Amino acid sequence: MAQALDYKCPQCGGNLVYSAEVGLMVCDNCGSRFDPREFQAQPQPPDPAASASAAGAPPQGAPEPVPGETAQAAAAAWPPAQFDQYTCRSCGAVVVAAATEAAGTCPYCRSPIVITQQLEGELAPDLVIPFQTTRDQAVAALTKLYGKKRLLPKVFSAQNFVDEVKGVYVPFWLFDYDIHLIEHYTATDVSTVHMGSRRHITTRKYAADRAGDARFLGIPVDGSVNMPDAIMESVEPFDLTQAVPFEPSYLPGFLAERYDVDSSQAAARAHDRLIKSAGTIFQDTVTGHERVASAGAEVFIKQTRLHYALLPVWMLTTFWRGQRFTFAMNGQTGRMIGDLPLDRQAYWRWFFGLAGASAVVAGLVATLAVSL
Amino acid sequence: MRRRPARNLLAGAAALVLALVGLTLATASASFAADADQSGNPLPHLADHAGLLTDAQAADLESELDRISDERGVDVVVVTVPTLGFRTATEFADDYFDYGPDPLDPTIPGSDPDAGYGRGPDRSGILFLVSTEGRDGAFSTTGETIKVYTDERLEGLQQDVAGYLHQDDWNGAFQAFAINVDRTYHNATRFRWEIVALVTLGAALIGGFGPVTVWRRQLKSVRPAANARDYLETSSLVLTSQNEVLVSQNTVVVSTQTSSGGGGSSTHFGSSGRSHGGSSFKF
Repeated sequence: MAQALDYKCPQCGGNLVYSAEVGLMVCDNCGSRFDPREFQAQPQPPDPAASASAAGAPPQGAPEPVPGETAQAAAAAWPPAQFDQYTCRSCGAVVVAAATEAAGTCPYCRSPIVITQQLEGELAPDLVIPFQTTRDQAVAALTKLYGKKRLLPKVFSAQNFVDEVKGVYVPFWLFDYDIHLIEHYTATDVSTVHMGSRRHITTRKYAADRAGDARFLGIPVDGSVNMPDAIMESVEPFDLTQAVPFEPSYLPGFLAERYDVDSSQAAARAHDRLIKSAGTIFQDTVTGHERVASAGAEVFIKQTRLHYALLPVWMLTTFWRGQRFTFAMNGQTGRMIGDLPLDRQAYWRWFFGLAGASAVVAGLVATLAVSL
Repeated sequence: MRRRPARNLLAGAAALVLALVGLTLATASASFAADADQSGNPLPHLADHAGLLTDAQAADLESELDRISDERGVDVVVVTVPTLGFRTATEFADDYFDYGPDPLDPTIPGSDPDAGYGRGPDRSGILFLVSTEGRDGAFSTTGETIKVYTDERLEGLQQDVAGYLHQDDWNGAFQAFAINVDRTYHNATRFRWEIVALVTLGAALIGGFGPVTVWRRQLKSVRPAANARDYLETSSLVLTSQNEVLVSQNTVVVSTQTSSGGGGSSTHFGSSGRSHGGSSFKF
């Protein structure tokens, strides 16, 4: 059975969690602070679950008897393939969690845990952007998102409270591209010369080509099936210059997932975004014309580099009239997004009011104009 | 049951808008009707002092001039005189329109500025003068008619009547004048209703849908990324080659003279101080 790593305070033995507010690991008991880059996980005590099993007494709260001679059949059937089970080192409970979960909280003792098995070998992230915003900031940003929306149902913002707020380290594939590109432009100039009672309007059209090299760094593609792609792209951009080498010590206190969309699947989306970015990269160099428009581009990829990173996202969920609303905030920049419901009555009330007022004003002005 | 008040509210709002639009159009209608119904003065629209028309022609023409005057809300007048006296054709036409006929000698203009032709506050109307002595012709326009009869349209009017005048076909010339005035006013004003209705409807749609569409879009912030320009390393850009060729050159010659009957109207002042448009000519 896999072990769930937790971080204990060297001073008092309390749980250490990563604090976005101070950018350090903080003890939830004595408040001591530690730099996550230098912090080493404390030597782990012997696996209490294993000890309990050996003593013949299953740990309290375990969903099933721990593996033993008589429980082999049950262990084979449980948990299903999409789940894994771990032993909490704080309380010894056997925890069943989604197979993609890399960090979370023990449901029995509420200790933050990091499941190291999900972060090792091929699953080991290269980079992490630590959370730089707090849960309170996420809730405040959601309140701000509700504000000044004329067509948002008033009862939605008045009665609504957030059902769930989760800080999640979402697995992302980051693609670097070194490219050579050839861009095509059409440029147009129009000149007018007055000659007596005639105007000579001359239109000149040019074909302009620009070729050059460019580099894209860290085009992100979310590597989690559970995370809606549109929401993950909507909270962009991330400032990857603030990414640091991955350390599991950034995770305690947050949820984390490991990727379950492999890089070859994710590459298609990154490539698509790369192609859509080409076409106007060198447009600033097409000068001296009245109008310049893109006429296509060819992109040649010289080199691709791939990174696996955990990026911070606050996920907020609420239910209203039986419908689930999901909001997300970039845990680095604080950018909050999410679709809000429409108050249809307010929509038509405003429409008829504004249409009526516009009709009266325009009608009277038009009447006056044609009467004069 | 809970939705009924909302439906009533929407129905009420729709009814209010329809009522407001209806009110606007009714106001416009009333305005146009008031324009057309502004009754003129008792002066005759035909003053054939030179005796160029038979009684039947005169009766027919006068009835036509009365009809056009009432329908268009402007005085449309034909005056024939044997001589202009000391006035030019333009001065005579302007004065006759402004002062009407002299009570003692109706073949010359009077002197009472309140006794002349013209309808509405700007005394709109057009007068066609023919003097047989020097074979002079003149048009005098006043008020709104100055804007309707641009210089170009006056030239067209002159061409319409010139052929008849050359042949001393007086009735033909005056009928051509009446037809021209009727048609010109019809063309100048035929789209009034349609314009008001279209402007009102367009403003209602734009003024209504514009803001609510913007506000509705504010509720949506989940959108897939359009591209990856945020991740372009601008310091990495290296332009390795560039070229530019002229692929086509096209010159269009446009005449700056308009041909739509638009353009301006030349004006001058009559002895009454009132502004007039118009033209004079020999035939």
